Amino acid sequence: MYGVLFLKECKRTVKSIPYLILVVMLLVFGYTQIVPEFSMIEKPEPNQASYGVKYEEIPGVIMPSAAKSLYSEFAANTYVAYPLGFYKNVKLSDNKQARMADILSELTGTPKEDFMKSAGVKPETGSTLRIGDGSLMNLTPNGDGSYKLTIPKGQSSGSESAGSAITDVTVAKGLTYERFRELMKQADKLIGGGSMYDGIYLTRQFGRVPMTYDDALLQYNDIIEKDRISGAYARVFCDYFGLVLGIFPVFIAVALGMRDRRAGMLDLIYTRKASSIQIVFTRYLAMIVMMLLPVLLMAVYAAISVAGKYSGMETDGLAFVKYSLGWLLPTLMASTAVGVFLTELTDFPIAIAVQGLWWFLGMFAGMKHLDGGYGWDLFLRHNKIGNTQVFLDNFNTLLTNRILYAGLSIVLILLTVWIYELKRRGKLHAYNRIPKIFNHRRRKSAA
Amino acid sequence: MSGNEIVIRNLNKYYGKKQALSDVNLVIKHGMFGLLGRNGAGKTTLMKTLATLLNKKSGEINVCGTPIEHAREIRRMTGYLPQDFSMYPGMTVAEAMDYLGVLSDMGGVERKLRIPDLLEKVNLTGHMKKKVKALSGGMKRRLGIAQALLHDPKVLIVDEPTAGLDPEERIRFRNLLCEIAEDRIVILSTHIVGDIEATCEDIAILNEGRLLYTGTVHDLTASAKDKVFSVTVPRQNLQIIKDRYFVTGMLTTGSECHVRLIADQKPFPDAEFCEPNVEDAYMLYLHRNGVEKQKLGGEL
Ligand SMILES: Nc1ncnc2c1ncn2[C@@H]1O[C@H](COP(=O)(O)OP(=O)(O)OP(=O)(O)O)[C@@H](O)[C@H]1O
Ligand SMILES: [Mg+2]
Repeated sequence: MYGVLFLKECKRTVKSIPYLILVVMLLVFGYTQIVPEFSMIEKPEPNQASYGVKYEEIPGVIMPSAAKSLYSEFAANTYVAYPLGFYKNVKLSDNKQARMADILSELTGTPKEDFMKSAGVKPETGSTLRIGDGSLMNLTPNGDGSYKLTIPKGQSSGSESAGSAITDVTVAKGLTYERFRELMKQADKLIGGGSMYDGIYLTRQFGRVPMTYDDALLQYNDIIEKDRISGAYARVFCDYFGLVLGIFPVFIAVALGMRDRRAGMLDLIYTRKASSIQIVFTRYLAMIVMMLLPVLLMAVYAAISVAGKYSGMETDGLAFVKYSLGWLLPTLMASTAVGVFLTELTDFPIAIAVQGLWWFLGMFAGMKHLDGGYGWDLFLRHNKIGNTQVFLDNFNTLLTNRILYAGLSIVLILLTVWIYELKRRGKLHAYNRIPKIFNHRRRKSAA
Repeated sequence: MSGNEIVIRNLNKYYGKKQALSDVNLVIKHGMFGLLGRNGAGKTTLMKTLATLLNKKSGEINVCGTPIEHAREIRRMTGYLPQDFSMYPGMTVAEAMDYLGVLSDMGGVERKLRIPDLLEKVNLTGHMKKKVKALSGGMKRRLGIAQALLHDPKVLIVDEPTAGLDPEERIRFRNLLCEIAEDRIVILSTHIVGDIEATCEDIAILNEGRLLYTGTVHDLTASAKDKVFSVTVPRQNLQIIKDRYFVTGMLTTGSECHVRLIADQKPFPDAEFCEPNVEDAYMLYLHRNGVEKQKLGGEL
């Protein structure tokens, strides 16, 4: 009976319009955007002009770079931060700016007063700072709180202007990396969290160093040996499809969840012998399987396309399918479960708003580790072909994350079963509250 | 407590603060059972409670030996036709039946045999491939009966199944229900007395959540003996009679009016005793239990 019901529920899913939209989206997106973007991974040759960049926690690189950045933000009193994942320009009070000057002073060994003078106290005068490559820039307030950066004309690098500004931000001698991290933590706290100086992002922001031939070769070998090429692309595949699966399934879950009530069929189904767990789980499973189908189809297509590109080299034929199941399935499960649960709870398409918000927040949260690193996001970003070591380094985070979301989905579905049974027995009437407003309106408009 | 009847004891049901059923005590036996009552009397509430769709406040219900709390068991042996229902509009008649059959845990062979059989019974064989949304109101009701009978339930609950049917269809429907009731309990609700008269032996009258009468149709009718009269009056006197007595029927011919009315004693010397019918008795019952004349007038 389970099997037949499952097939019937699959059919019901397929026949819903949001499902068809999802399928078309996945196929078109995969076919025109993702797979064609799979550029060839070339083996690095010695004596290339550049091998790209990498991020490493090298104090000698991070410390001066972070100090310069902090000073320029301080001088402009405009700090970029992503609290809760949202982009924000933070402006600090005079009091906090003074404390920031303390931090800068310890960081650079320059007296606090110089910092106060150069920026915080009289921003109208504008200020000059020396940026990374040593050239000077003028910082002039625009009046609306933003600042304009200009390179002064005819001013040779090194010549000081008016003496008020600090032109060369260097790290104080003898500052240990540990103390530096502490200072950065304090700065982050002053800004309100989520700034570039937050411990997690320091390396990502300031640890940028050019890759050497050896580095590039190592990366290349990782892709060939550990990823067997396909894995390197599969992560990008998951990165893009995760964006879709983090939001679209909720429409299908809501549409199907509201359907019985819309059709006036609730009582006919409620009085059947099938248990609530059978009904809710079979429907959920049918939705998941049917939504996974186009993903797997694209996975097969991508695998074939990669194998074609690297004919003669060994690729992992199953990598895309494995990644789809391990990486994408929990995202699909969770966004569907949110739709199923909230729709059963409220008889209202509120899940679309909730999931929409979650997706939006996830988008911003993901910005911070766009090419790997993961974290607690619903859909995991990895917008870079390869980056194998980052993937391997964060594999445990990824695994925990995926297990968590799969588990969360199951819990939501179990709760849905419980609510379904309560409603079925007349012990819970979610619909009594909201739709009354609509009934009222309908009656009015009919009159 | 026999295994072949439904026993309801001290049943109370509230919607929020509003009491929809008060202390209902009822035994429903094998065969057709009619539930009679005005709009809002609580018929649907009682039937939904029997179909495990509503949660009672207090009291006991036992269906053929199974307490109502064992919802799964009850669902297995109950078929229910709601007062308002529909089905997925895009499904065909056969698909909708098949889907509900699967939810009733019926095997493939069983469904293949039983569904055409039932559709034949409700005269829908020719419409099996039709979409549900293309059915007329009467066809939909018949489909409703067929789905309620899918898993061959011991108890069939049908809520106002004849509402909206044309007279011919209504008679067909009643006959079908009688046939079905030969080997099970069928509970039928209606506010159309004629349905009950033609089909049921045992009935109950509900009013404002209370049971006014339970017993046979025969006893109910007998209770109105010597209380029903017919009289012919001039048309202009009609209003006075309406104000004073229960008028259960009238026929105007020219300036005269033949009136059928209920009264405790002979109202006029020339009034004639009539054989009471169920409708007369029903009205009398409601009247005796304090339902106002005006309210009843609106019902007829
Ligand atoms: N969901 C509900 N919430 C609140 N009150 C309700 C609800 N359903 C029914 N009622 C009230 O309970 C009472 C009984 O309603 P019920 O539907 O059982 O009557 P009925 O006898 O089936 O009437 P009808 O002949 O019109 O179908 C009515 O007063 C009705 O207003
Ligand atoms: Mg009703």
